[in-house]
Amino acid sequence: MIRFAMPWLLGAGVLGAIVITALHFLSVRRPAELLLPTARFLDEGRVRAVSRSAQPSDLLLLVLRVLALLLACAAIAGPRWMSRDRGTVNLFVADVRYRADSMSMLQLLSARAHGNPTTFVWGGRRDSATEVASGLQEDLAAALPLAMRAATALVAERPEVDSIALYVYAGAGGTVSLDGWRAWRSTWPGGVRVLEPTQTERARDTTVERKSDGAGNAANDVTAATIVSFDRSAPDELLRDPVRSAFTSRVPSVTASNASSASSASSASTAATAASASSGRGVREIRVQRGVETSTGGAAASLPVARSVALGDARQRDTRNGEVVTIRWPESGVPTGWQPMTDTATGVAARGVAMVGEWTRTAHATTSMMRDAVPIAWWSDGQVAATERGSDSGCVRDVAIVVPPASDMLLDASANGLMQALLAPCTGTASAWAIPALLRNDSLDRSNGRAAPSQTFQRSDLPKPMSSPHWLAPTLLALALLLLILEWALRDREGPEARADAASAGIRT
Amino acid sequence: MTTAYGPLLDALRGVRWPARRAVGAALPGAHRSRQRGTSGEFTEYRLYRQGDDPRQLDWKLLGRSDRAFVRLTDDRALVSTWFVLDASLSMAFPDERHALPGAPPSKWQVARALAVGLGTVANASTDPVGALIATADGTTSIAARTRRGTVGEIARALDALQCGGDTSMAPLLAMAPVRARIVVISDLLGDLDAMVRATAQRTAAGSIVECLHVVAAEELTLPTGAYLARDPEQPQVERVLESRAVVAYRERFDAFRAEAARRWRGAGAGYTEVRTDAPLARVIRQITSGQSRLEAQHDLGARQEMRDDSHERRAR
Repeated sequence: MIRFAMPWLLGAGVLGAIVITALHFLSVRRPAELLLPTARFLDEGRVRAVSRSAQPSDLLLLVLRVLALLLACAAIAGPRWMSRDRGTVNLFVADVRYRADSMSMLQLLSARAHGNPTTFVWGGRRDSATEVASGLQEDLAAALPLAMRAATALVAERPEVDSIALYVYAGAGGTVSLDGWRAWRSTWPGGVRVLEPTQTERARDTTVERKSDGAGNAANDVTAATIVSFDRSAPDELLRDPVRSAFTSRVPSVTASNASSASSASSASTAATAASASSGRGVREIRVQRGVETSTGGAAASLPVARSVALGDARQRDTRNGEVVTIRWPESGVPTGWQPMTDTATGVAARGVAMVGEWTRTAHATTSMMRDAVPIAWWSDGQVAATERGSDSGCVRDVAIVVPPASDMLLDASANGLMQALLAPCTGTASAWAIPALLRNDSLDRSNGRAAPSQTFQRSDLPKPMSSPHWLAPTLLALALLLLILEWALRDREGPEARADAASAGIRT
Repeated sequence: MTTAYGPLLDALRGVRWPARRAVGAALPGAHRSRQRGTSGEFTEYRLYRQGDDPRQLDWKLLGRSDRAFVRLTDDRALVSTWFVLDASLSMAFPDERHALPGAPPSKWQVARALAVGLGTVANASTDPVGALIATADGTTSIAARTRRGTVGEIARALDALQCGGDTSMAPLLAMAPVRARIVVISDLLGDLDAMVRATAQRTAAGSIVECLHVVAAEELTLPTGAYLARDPEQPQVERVLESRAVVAYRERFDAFRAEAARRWRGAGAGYTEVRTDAPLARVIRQITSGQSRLEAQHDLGARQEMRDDSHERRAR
């Protein structure tokens, strides 16, 4: 799609083309030729006569002339080639601590961004490029100057961008200085959409808030009062299980139970009830089910199936004595409801922390199962790696991450995100983190949520190219010249032909 | 000779074409000669002058009147007839290929018929007949001969020719013998000035020159409507032909023809205008009988009178 810097010039060309076409119908033409040896006795003078014609003649010449004029005007009018996805670009500003969760951000945007391309801007001290506007976590108002800088750079890099829609991810745990927000808000010419965390993220953020309230290591505080029971019969294998090692390193009280008996887990959890009392609310027990899934998309053969309910219903359940979080993490095979696949991925991200490595992916979440579940971990390509769904006593978390038997990746600090997501309280019971209503209302004022026009971000000191890309205008001019030469050649060729016809045919009408 | 000339030649049986003035000494023929010969046809007496042949004295008259008279008799001589034809592109008007049935012939067709018809008439009087044809490729010459097949040879040569180019006729006038009758058949749209000058020289040298000016009917009656008229011999000459321009065209063309007639006659040649829509047999009879000259002189006198009247009216 082509846009023009001076569209009025193209309009003038169109007007000229209309005039040329009109003149073609009312043109000065050469009358029919008559070979007359005594032509010398006729009056000398004009050899053309004005005539009107209802049908255009010399259509090819007319088309060539009009096209040459339009192309020349288009070349002078400053053509700019715009790709089809030009229009609006989403500028997503979030704190850098959410960078690892960019795929989840995209999911968050997908429902609101109308398919427009998205550019992420991460604010935080760890990003040297945005050092000036760092501190998004400390003050959300810093997102606006950050967006101004990013928008200016974006428009300079991609002149075809028409408008910029700004999304500011409020995240959790941050603060907003309303005076600063309002001061910066006046500089952004469009609407600002402040995105709230989803339910899963709210739960996570609540956890973060809670952990920040307590003392000590935040990673360990999450599960400090939780007992994890393993459904595994062979203690030797359990000792070598990397998943168990991961839980052991983070949760002090880990027990083993018989996988075939669900009640054994409850007996094991009796001791945990007292321990969990220190937290006052949240998880009463976490049951990790390991084993081998032998069926695909159906019921698990070796892992007991937990009855799931919708998350909305789960909120209404009685959790006065704490929740039971069931983690279904098969050693191999496909979790119940997942579709089998064979693939690899280069990382798993959860809670803003990514585990980078070579992962074998054996299953992917289906659309139907995601109706009742929320993702809690993602592969590096955005696919869901772990989900959570509600149950009568709490929630069930399916993990489709195959961990090699001797792997120590889960012991690394990069696995903290995944482990925190698995050990966190169920989503439905989390209290929502809300951004100030004032900020929400203020974000969309003056522009009714419209995207900011890109012209306001264009730098006037930059030299403006005649066309974009630079070869477009010369190409159009060359085409116009070529058409004019073609027109001249055609017109020149018709002269001798007409004379030859007249010589042979006498009167030619 | 092609059968196309048959009706014309049938219509010309018995027609003779005497030279319009006495010809010089030549072999005995049908034309009156300036040579006072010894033929039995008495013409007049003349007083004997010193140097006359005493054998021509009329002795009986000398005896009766005691005065010496010489007996004069007219001689008859042959005169070769040369046709000088213009085969330029303008003579191919109108185009024979696009002619409608019943339409007048082209100027070239009329020129060919005139040459064949007059050649047949001349050859019937045992006159040698030859042709010089100016074509785009040069000059086609057919030597003058008396034998019967000469006219047929000329006809075949003319039929085989294709008009084209812009030819020059004046050099051809110089190629004909001095004591010959030269018949120029042309539309006079070429080198008219040079032709008139050459004609004046030839007539002064004793040649009898006849100009047959072929005029197409389409040149006299132009088609209606607007056209871009182009001279076939000079493509750069382009004029717009429309209804308002016809009157001026006719005036100029009439003036051109009158001027051409005046100049040809002033050069001592005969001039006959031949329209393509006129019956050719009648035209040839008029030419051979000298009636066309009389009509032309009458027309010339009438035009002169009209011109004088108009001058008088203007003077008043």
